[in-house]
Amino acid sequence: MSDHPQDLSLREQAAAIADGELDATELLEATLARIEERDGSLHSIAESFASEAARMLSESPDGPLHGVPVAVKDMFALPWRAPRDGCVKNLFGVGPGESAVYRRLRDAGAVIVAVTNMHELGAGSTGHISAYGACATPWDTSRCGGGSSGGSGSAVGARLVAGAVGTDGGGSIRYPAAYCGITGLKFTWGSVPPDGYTHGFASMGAPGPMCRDAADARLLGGVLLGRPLASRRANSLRLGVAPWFWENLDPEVEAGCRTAVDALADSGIEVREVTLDGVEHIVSATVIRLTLEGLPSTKPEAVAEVMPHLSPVGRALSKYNLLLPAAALVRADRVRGQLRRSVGRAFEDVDLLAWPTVPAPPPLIAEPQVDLPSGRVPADYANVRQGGLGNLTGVPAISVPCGLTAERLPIALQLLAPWGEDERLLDVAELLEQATDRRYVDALPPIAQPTPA
Amino acid sequence: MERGEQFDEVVRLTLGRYGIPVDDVDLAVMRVAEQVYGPGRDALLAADLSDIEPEHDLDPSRAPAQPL
Repeated sequence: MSDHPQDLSLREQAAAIADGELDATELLEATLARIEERDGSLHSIAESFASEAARMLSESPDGPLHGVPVAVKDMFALPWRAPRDGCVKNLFGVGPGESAVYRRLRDAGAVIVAVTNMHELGAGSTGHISAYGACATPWDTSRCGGGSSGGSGSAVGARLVAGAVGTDGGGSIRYPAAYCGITGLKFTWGSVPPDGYTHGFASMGAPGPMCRDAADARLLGGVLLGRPLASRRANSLRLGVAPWFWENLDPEVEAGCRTAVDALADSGIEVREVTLDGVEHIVSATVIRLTLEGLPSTKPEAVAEVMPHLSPVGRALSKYNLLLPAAALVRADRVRGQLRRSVGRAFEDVDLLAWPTVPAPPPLIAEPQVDLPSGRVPADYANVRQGGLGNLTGVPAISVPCGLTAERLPIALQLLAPWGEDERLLDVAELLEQATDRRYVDALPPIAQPTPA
Repeated sequence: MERGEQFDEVVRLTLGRYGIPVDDVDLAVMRVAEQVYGPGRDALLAADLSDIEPEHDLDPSRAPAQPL
């Protein structure tokens, strides 16, 4: 049995500090030591902050996260560091400062101990391309930690921190949550002020908490939203299953997610089949809008400075994106409206939608492709098919651990709720945790297993 | 966008018009991207969307208005 304080949940850390059972200075020192000890093969941390974190702790007000270390993705301005978006510098001229996410964490008493790694420019679902190294899942360090918020997912999964902030413009909280076996919630679009967020211009991106389970996500999520996320009974809700999102899946992923839906049904949730219009264009509409809507916000001088330092793939794709015809963007937006109306109609009949977060387990860093019944495809392409709808529509979405493959790689179920019903996702995630006896949220990856005495 | 042998030439000419250099690594990456994402983009460009109403005043924080 470990007695390391980072093996406590986020809420347990907060409660122990408030009760005087845990010294926040010792917790901070133990957190920095664990990052040093475990992150070498993960590359989950872009930079850690011993002195700045100590200063935040010394000034930490009473609040729900008083003295608790957390990490934030490399997309938010901190007073002592400009965000870099996983490369040498962000393209949007966002400098050091007090981002909204920083202010909310600080005002809740949290201590920002590190910035987490991310896929270069946020442009990938694997996390294997970054100026800070390829980010790995703690379940198998030869495999991808996910992207773009891979560092946040990996750091939480490996018990470096109990809570981290991610962002999700095209599934970027949910994919790494799935790959790293943790719970990741993308808020309803616009729920957190965009200031100091490098992609604050985006109509698709939203931040959110990445934690070990739903109760911790509720705590950190409430801090980010600036209001408590109330808990309600979930077992009389209606769950919609859209068959299109259950096609062409890895067999183990499909079986694990179907078992999870069955477990929810056994807990009292009514399961119904729903049909959504326009889903055949989700991948294109998501990718086109994601890749183009940042262009007007880039600073030409930053682009010139960053381009020589991008990966060959990042450099080539940034040029490829310029070749997209304008007609494609206009058409993507027409499809987006169709999808939003279709999802709005679906939510008149059901309270939630559910399908697998990703269609296959985390791929190898050396070859980030996934094997599906239709053949081998890049993980990015396959993942956006599952994740893009949440961003195109703006609805909240969560990834919840719900199984392990025979190779002990995480499987995750995605849930989506109507606009503004973020709490409902946490309620159902907790119901699923109970229905599975917390087997998957409490499962430890190899890197976090206690070492024999 | 063109495929096959024409692809490289279209890329070089189009980006060259804006003074953006393209090297062989760029082209190799772009060919893969085109192979993966090109068919879906072309399907979107060819789709009949004429019966789909545009959504004016998009606000992703809220449910859209449904057509009357």
